[in-house]
Amino acid sequence: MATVLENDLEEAEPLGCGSIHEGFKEIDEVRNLASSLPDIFKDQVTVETNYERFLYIIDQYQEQPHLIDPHLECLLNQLLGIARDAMSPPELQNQAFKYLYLITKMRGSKVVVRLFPHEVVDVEPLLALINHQDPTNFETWETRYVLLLWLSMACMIPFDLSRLDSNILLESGERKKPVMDRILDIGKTYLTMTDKSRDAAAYLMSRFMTRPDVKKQKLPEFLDWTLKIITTADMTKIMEAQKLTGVLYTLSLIFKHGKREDLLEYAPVILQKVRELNLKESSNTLLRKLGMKVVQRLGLTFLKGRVATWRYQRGSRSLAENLKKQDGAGQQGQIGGVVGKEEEEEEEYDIPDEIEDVIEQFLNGLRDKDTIVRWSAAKGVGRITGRLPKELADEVLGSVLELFSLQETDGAWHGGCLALAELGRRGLLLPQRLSDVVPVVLKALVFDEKRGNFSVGAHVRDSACYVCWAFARAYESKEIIPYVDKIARALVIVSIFDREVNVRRASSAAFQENVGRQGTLPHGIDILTTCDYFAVGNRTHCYLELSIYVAQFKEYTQALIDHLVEAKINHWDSAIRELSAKALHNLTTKAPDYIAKTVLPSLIPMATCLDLHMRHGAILAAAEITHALSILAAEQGRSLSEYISPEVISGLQGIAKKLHEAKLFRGLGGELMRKAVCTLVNKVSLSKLPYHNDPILDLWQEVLDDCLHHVEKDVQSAATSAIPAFFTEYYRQEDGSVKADKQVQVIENYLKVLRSNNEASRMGYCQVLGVLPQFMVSGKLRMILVGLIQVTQFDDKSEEKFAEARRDALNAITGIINTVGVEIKGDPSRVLCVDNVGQVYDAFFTAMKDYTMDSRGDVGAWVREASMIGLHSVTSLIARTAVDLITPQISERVFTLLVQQACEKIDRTRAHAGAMFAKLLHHRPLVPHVPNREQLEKIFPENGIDSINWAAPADTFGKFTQLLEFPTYAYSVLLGLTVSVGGLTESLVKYSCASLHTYLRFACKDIEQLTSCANILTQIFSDYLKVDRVSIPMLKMLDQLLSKGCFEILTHDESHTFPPKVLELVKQEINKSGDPHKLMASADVFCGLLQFSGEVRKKSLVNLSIFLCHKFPRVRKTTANKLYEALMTYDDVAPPENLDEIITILSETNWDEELTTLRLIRNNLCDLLQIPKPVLRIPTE
Amino acid sequence: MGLLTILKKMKQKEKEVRLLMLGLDNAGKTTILKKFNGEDIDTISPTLGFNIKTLEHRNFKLNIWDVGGQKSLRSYWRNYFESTDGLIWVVDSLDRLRLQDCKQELQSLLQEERLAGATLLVFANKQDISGALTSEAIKEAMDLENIQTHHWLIIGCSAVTGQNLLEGIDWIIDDIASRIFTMD
Repeated sequence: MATVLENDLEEAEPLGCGSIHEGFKEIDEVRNLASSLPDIFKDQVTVETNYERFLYIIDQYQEQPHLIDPHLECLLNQLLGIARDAMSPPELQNQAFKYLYLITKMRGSKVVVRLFPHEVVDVEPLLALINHQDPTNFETWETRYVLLLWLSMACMIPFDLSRLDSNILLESGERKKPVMDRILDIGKTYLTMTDKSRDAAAYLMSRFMTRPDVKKQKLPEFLDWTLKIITTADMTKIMEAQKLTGVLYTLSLIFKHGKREDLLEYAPVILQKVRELNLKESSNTLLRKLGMKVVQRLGLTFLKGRVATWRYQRGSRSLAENLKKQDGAGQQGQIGGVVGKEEEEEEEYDIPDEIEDVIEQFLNGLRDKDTIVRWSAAKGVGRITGRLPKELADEVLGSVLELFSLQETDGAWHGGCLALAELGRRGLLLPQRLSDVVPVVLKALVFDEKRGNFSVGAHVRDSACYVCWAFARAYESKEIIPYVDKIARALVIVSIFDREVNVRRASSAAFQENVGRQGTLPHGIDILTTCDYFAVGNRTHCYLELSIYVAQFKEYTQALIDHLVEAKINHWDSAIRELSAKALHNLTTKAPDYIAKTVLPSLIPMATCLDLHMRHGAILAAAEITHALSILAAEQGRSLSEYISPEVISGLQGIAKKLHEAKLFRGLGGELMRKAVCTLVNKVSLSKLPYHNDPILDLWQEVLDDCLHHVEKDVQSAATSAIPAFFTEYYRQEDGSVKADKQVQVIENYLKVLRSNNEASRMGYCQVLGVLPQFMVSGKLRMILVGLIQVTQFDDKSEEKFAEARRDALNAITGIINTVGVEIKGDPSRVLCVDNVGQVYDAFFTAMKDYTMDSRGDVGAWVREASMIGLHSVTSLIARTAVDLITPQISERVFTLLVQQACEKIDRTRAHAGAMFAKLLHHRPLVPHVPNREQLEKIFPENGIDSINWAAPADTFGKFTQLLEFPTYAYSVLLGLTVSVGGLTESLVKYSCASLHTYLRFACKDIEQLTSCANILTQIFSDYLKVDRVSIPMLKMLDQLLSKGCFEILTHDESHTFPPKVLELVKQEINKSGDPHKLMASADVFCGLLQFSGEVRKKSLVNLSIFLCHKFPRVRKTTANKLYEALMTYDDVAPPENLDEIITILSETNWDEELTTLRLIRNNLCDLLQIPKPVLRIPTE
Repeated sequence: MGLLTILKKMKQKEKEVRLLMLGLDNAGKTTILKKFNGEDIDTISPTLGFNIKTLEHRNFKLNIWDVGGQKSLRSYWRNYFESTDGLIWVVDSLDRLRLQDCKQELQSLLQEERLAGATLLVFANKQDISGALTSEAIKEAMDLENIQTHHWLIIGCSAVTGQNLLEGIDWIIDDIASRIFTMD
């Protein structure tokens, strides 16, 4: 067990940090950054980047600061070396101090301060350094902060400070001020500052003022100074409030560090002045907290310290250590000392009157609205009470308990719990008081106060866990035993049913501590090993798995169930209500009789009550429990009526009706009620409750149908999951056939809605048709398919795009076909057969061309994906059961379409297509008539297919371009590639383009093969002329291919038809187009075409010259640039003698000028290029 | 700050122990510290001030404060009392003359409120030199048996040979760890 506990705590340590480190692995880098400071401090850029890097590394360790410890000393020495070196320029020093500050921030000032040099010789230089600082320079506050911290260490030297003062006269003839005075001045100066250095100054002053020599000479004077600030400060002014902050902080630290007897005489007056400040009313949280701290330290000054007598009797510090056997052998020395007697005689001494005031301030602090103030007050209560005699301590406890009333805020409950915990762990709650304390804590453990859509109380529950944890440490088992069952149950309930993960974990930790130290919790070890820190992290796991585990122990079963029913099914968070209902389902088997006789009947009235949350939770819980009981009854071979009474049956039946009459399906919460009733119908149908032929069925049908219209997907899917069970149970006759009247009514109604103008309705009804059970479809398949196919058809004229409805319709077709199955010569109104197979495939094929765009982008992709799923699913079904239905035409279409999608540009869609393609290619039994099956299997071998990432362009394009060789696939592959090569995504363009390029350059063995490829390209171009989705990428792709020289071999053949065809198509494409992207892309193609001599070159030049005077300046400029590049790339385009001049004109003309000017320049160019000048077509002139 | 944060902090604090090492001058405090830390002990001069060493031992982090023992410094010892878990009192076993001095200083320390509850380890140092008083004799002379307020142990040791240093430290850690931790 020890190991389990140890692991838990060990691994729980880095809570809340993103990553867990094993050691400070960047130490070398950090040291390099530090040592490079003298070289780089003048270079602002490097200084900043290095600082950022240092900061980044240090911040990584904020959660595990101790990891730096092995390196801390050498790192500090390194930085201090730079910082204290009198030769270092101030900029360099400041930078070193900045690094030092970051280390301090991460490791904590108390740890770092120990490593600062503290020898006598350090004092004078340090004081000089501080005196050189400008206290108001906001860029160097780190320097001052670190220096003051350092001084706080250096001033701890155990010598009289007057021994440091020299008698040498200064140049001015004065004597140098004594060190003591100088430190005091520094302290006073920085205490009133507004930056972080104030905190260091407070720490410094607390160390300094408590020195024996300083205390004697300076303390009264200094305290006077602080009192003056306290009495005169106007807290409403920011600067004065800051001053006050510094002073209060210093006071709290002085009274903490100083010797109690020394300070006692000053405490009353300070307490009085602080009280007069009336900080309670201040809106400044920090001031209120510091006030609490000061009051606490003053209070402690009034009372003599006491040592807890039982501190050796509650096991060791660490729980894991505690559980190991202590071996006391092998002591060579002599041991002695008293182990405190159990009943220590109370020392009699007077309790000063001030204590009452102090405690009153704490009790107010416990109610404060800010956590940090409550914390401070709670610690104060704990510490002070520890020094009070028993009777007074008990009075304090009494007052704390008064906080737990319903009139108090959640904050007061939290503060109260913190105080109880602080008292508890100090052993200050007397055992006889446990009977008052435990009930309060149990209430706090489940404190949850609704605030509309959320609640408060997680902090109260967490702090209640703290109290329970403290009990474990401070009490003997025999004192806890009367309460142990209650505490154990409450903690287990919180560990597995609290909404918040931190509370579950806190509770689990408290449970562990109780098991470890008390050992009397029922099944403690079993539960804590199962419900540990990690297991309780996942809420669903807690509700559905851990609850069952714990419920097997009878001490807990009923408590778990009761808690869910009382506190969780009416929780404000619907996720919790749903989980609770499911948990109750699972728990039913653990206490069926209790659930059936007590819980279920109590849920019925709750299901129609006024509280929305409770209603929702109760309906869900009743539904789940009924279902669980029916399963249980079936397993035991008993009749359900043994578990569920007639009253409950009629109660369940009445829920929907009552809700309907109360109009609770509408308005606020209507959605929740609909979902809940869907679940109810679903579960009672599955439970086969005897409502057959009851009029309630019509109401249920109405509610379910209504939900299908709903815009919320959750509501729709609740209905679609309920309907199959509902129909199966209540619309089927004894012999398994459908009740014909119901079928006609339902199907006709559903098909009517498919033509609705509301997309949500269409979607909902498509979904439900897809999941209908076979007996409902039988005889109506023809109608249903027609209806669904109509939905899949794209209607260009309609304003609505309805892509999602089409997707759902396709999914529904897939679903139905899988429900009804295939018979080659079957009845088309019952099954998929030769008569309707074509119709179905056509619907899928058409959907593959859906490229609908809306504001969300290519929403057609959803339709295409649904279609691919359908093609795979239906083809697979047919191949398994009636393979002859697959014709060569079908097979070819399926494969070419999938290949095309597998080459297109959306990763997700491509991945989908690739996966479907691979599955069908390697389908067993074989899908017949796959074109080029042998070659395909070579390119996509079965044994390597799983390792292909179909979404990664690098994996797939190389394979699919190999299909270009086969005429059947070439068109599809090229069509897909066009969109990808001309696309935008970098990786996509890179790999698709490279694959195509490689194929054209190396795989095409001769002109003939290249020509066929080229022909397909021009075919695609003309097929998609003016279809921007394809034609613009096509232009880009042509540019790429031309400029990469893929068609270079054609330049020798002037009679080849490809260049003129491309030229012609591009001209048609840009005809009357005003899209600058398209125009610029076409300019690129024209430039690429310049490599072909003859007519094509001439015409391209003419077109380019037209662009040079296009009305868009962008087009003119791009064209000029491209033409310039082309002239440099291709020989013989311009007459060699004119080339220089042409190039100069192209590059030096300002193409933003007036068109009339440009036209003259352009015409000149035409002459030089020896092409005809374009004539301006202006019909009116 | 929830329970988990408290536990996390406590977990770290549980592993940290603050020890204050005091004794008359020339008792060998700094030598013990250096020996324990594996440092060179040939050139040690009187401590004019104080040393703080952080050592890792048995998975505990020991923060040992070693303050000079000259008479003039003793009134400053109280500057270092805060949150001390254990007091290590070092005695020069050869220094018969000042044994009463030694006893008185220790007695007054044990009256100190802020050291109430700390564990006391007495090192009877310099056992390697002949003529040293035994730990038994020192116990008698210093009247240790009458200490009722603190857990204590006296053990003869030698800072030069390292004899019994580890045993003493182990005992004080065990004693500190075996009481439940309270935050004050």
